[in-house]
Amino acid sequence: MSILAVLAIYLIIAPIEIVSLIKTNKRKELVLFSFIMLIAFTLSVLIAFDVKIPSINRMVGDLVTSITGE
Amino acid sequence: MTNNRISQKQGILMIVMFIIGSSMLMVMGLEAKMDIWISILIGIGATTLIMLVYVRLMTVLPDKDFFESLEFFLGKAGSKVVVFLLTWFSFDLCAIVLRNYGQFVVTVGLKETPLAVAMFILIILCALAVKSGIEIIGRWTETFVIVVIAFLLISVALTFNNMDINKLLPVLDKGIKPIIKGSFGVITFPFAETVILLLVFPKFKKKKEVKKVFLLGLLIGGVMILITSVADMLVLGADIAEDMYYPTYAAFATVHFGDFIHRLEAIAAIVFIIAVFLKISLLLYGACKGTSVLFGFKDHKFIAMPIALLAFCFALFSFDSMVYYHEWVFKVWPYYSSVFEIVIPLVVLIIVQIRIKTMKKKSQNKLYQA
Repeated sequence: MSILAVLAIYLIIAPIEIVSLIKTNKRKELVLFSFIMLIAFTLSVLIAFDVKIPSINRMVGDLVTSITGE
Repeated sequence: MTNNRISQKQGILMIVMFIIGSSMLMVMGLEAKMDIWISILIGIGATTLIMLVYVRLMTVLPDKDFFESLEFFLGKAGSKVVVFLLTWFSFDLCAIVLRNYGQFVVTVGLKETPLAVAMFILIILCALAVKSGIEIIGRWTETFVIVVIAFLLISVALTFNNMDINKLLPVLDKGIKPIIKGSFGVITFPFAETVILLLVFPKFKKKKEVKKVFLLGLLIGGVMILITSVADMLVLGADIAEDMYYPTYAAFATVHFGDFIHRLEAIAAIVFIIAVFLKISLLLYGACKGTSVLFGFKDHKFIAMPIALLAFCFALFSFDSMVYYHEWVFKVWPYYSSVFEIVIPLVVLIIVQIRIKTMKKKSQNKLYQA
């Protein structure tokens, strides 16, 4: 179910932005835009399928608690 | 771009809202228990010094903005490292505050709603705010800050009946150590988080304005935090407040004024949502601007949507549960954030000062030789 929501959201948002970028002829911007959008999309799909993703905040948390010992 | 300026007043109000933001609900510095007011006062004092560092960094070259002066002093590679670190901080904080908002809405109001839906609606709004530009955000702040401050002050005044001054006594019961720890917490969450405004603020017209913006904003915001935190303590007492996720919300729920005003916790929720919207917008703005500078773009608006969606993903998977989130914020955040809030600005400032000195010497030598 949630995968459908993810697909719907990205299919609505991405075309609107991409069209406006192509219209104003911004090639480099389009590359960066697609790159970040792709990362976000991959993460969203993984979250939708309940895959556990290693999180930086948790790693920092483990590091700090191992130092302070709380 | 022509409309890329904010006035001094808007700058001050932005900092006020930013500080009130999420910390009016999640009271920091509870390690100090009934001495929390001392902690907050120390926190305001110490943050004044930290902010002088930020002000110096923003105004070191009068005709250049923060990014340009970084590049001037640190070189291209060095400035990119600093900008990258600050951008990551802004982005990570954006995800953390967003998660806080989502958890608040889901636990307090919309209990059947999934966390993702609550967060998604707000982050899309914030992305639209970023796309409309800093000037619009500034004007929005000017309109809504009155609502926030008035609602907060009125609600605190109405809890007066339930306050008990004995809950703040005895002063300095546990000694000075918990107070220092508490003030460290208060400095890192909310006060010194204003470091990301280095990324956000455009150039102000005069050098003096920057100093006034940062320090006056800190003073007003700090006093608001002081008022709400002390009111929480007076109403709930230290032990109950420590057990709560949202002490201010609980404190406002105790209001019984006359026969007609009861339970003002909805007001706390409204104030929180208004202020947190601005906080997330500014954080997202900082992340977008930092990213666009990193990749050498002049415009940052096109990147708002993807970064917003990325922050949304990070907010979803970074923390397992609400319990872990709150533990993380109280135990890990002070240490993690102080690297970005205190260490990095200080190191940059030291390098800048050394560079200025060597440059002056060189120019003097040239004068003598000529």
